[in-house]
Amino acid sequence: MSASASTIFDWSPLALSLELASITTVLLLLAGTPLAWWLVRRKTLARRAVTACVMLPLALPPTVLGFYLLLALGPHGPLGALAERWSGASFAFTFTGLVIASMVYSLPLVVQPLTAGFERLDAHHLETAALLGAGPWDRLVSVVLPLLRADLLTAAVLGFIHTFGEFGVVLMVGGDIPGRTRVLSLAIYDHVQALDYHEANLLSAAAIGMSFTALLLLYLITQRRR
Amino acid sequence: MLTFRFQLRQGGFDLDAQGVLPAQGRSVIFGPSGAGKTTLLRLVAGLERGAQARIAYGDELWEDRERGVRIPPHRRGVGLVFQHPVFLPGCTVEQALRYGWRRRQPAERRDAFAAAVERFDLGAQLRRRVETLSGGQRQRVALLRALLAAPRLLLLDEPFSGIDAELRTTLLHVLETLHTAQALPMIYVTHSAEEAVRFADHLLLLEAGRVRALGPADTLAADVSLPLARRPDAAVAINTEFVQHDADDGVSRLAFAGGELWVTANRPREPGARLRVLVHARDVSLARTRPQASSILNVLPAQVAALAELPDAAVVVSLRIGATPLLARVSRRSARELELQPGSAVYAQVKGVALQHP
Repeated sequence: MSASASTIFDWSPLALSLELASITTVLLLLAGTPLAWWLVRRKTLARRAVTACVMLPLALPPTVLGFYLLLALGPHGPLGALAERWSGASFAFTFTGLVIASMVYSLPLVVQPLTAGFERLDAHHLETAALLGAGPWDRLVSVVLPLLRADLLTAAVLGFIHTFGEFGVVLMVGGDIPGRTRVLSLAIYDHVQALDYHEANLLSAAAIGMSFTALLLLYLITQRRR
Repeated sequence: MLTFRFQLRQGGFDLDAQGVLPAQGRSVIFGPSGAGKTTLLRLVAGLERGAQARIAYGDELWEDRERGVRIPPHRRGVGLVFQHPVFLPGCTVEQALRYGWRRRQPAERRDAFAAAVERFDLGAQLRRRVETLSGGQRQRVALLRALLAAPRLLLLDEPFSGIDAELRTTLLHVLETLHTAQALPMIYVTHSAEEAVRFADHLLLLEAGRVRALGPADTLAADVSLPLARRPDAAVAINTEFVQHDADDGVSRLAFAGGELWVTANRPREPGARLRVLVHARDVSLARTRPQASSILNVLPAQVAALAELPDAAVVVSLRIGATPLLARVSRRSARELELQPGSAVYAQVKGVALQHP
């Protein structure tokens, strides 16, 4: 590595990780909220099975998850084949593939606080709102979201930092391509492999700072509300 | 008219009730705890699922399981005041009150917001958080919140059972005036016999998930074959009109269909003002001949309609004064000595101090 290159430190893995975590978190909140609601409304066998599937990524080694996601997103997998027909390329080793994989990986951390919130939600609040003339969407916005504010925030922060810190899945699915899929955790690993401890240190310290700040904000906000 | 037929099995509970309630006046669902009163009310509001339900309000079909019809609660135009009302955490009285009010078109609103708030004596509390209010005030907010959403039918589920007697009387009075002023039909659930009789125009007696009786309140309250009339605190409510007030003696003269009543009262009313007077069976005694020089203010010629022996050596006698039913509770010995039987002509004596109009 030349002297001039080392003075301009490459922060792009951090930016990429932040982008990946932000997009994944927004999409997960949009998908996870109705899913969590559906999971708690009735306790049928099918819904318990879906709950187990949602929680599965927590139990699996990330490489196992990453391996099957790579197969699914690659040119011979169902999702990858679909993408190839549509855009000419599969999802393997792309940023889109990373987003999809991260959503699966972080889904349990988003759904868990939301189901807990929905379980705690007193149905009388919804019934009262309905009898005061509020329809289903109105009730979602005026009753459910305010009551679940803390749970939504918890889900968002946990989903964000979990995605931010993932390694195994992004390695398998993303392939560590600089500027496209080389996220923070992969870059740190590469720096350590190359014995560039200073660079590894900078990125690692940034990761700790980010995650600590996010968690601190979460606890400051949710514990003031209770 | 509210026409309903509900069949619901939930755990060990089994409700099978049908009937017709008028779409005007005050209907009371009365029964012991666990009879299914709340469930019945929730079925009317559309809050219970999984029931074999058929319910129509006037010519609107609200629910018919067989035809797959189900109007959701928010489109039934029904208000409900729960026994323990809930409010969003941290919300102020004003926010709570405006929730339903905002959701009505201006043309649908029945009350001006500020005037209604004043009438409920909540003007000074608007900025307070609901959770800082007393139980009675919270219940008042819940009631006004429901009214401001301009319901066509108001359902009340033991709304005043958790608050003290004095406040309960005030709130019941608020409901009564409201009923007169807005002609808002109400269905009121209670397990208090006195509340039921005081409040009801129509009564539905519910026992173990079945309708035991359904009809005009004065008839059912005075029916000695039904549990209400057999209670030690049995009473009937008589609809009267104010005639005159005697300030020196502190008594008022009230007219009802079949006669007049003197009651103790501390202030006069508008002539013709409608007052409901509760007459307890234990405050009514009977005589065969018109008593002379008695301290009893009211001596009313009456006819015995029916009588029933009660377990505690007492007899409950259902009387008619003209068309107005009245109950008397006398000892078994008195009933025998007076030779009471259906058709007997008697004089019913009611102490004026036992009667007070609100």
